[in-house]
Amino acid sequence: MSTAPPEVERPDTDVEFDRDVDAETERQSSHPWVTIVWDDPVNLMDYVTHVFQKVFGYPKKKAERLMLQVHQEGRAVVSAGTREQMENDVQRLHAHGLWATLQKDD
Amino acid sequence: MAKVSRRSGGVRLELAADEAGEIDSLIEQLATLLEPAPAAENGEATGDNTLAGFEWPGSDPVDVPDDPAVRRLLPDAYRDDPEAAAEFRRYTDLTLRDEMAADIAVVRADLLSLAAPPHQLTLTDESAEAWLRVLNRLRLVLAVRLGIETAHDHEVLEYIDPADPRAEAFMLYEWIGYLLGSVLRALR
Repeated sequence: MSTAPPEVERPDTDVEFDRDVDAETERQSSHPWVTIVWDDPVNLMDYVTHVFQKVFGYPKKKAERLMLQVHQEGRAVVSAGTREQMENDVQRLHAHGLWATLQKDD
Repeated sequence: MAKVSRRSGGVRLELAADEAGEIDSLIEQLATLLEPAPAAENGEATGDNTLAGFEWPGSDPVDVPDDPAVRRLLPDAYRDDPEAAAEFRRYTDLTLRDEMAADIAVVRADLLSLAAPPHQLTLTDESAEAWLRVLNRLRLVLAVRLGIETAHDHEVLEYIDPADPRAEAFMLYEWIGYLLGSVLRALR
């Protein structure tokens, strides 16, 4: 994604485990579908963070961590659940211009 | 020059008349790009058939858009499963295009207000979100037209010859990015 405009704030990158990590792992194992967001050179970092907060209701810190993962690793799993839930998530991400796909969790 | 600031009632936007006109012209083109796709040719009879006569959004297969810019706005939802991707497209294409058209209507109505003095408007949080999505879509389309596929492509364009036919589109791309970033900061 794009780093422009230049006034992008550097998010706090302290590694911190989310309290909901256990609940999420649980959800993944019972509903093995995931939504993946792929990096592109166009979407602004701030915008991607904003969309994660808005679409998923994630706290800012988690949204920033996922945004950075997309940026640095080229992709990130942003949600997990049933296939129907993931199709809904992908549709909402497409409505916000993010490049998202769903697949079975490997 | 565009000014964006935080107000208690929302995001205050100030645009010169020519800036509002520029955005409106781009959005008009975006609206045309996003007009619903014709149903895919599937060879099925479409004559009188009472039992099959109920039409609802998503009842017909939809082709993958030919235009790469439209394909970027309505990408495949499955990477390695064309059949599932086609099925997803069939049931979401019209809804997504409708939502995008609704965003465009919000922004164009705001632009109409901005075209008149004092060329200022306070956006509600809801309409600010529509602005973000529309500005972002404009950037995505411009990026496809400019051939921006990697960060490197973007860097190369920063040194574009002003006489290059792409120079104006790149300037717009950067300016819309600035505007988008400003609205985001004002929303915080």
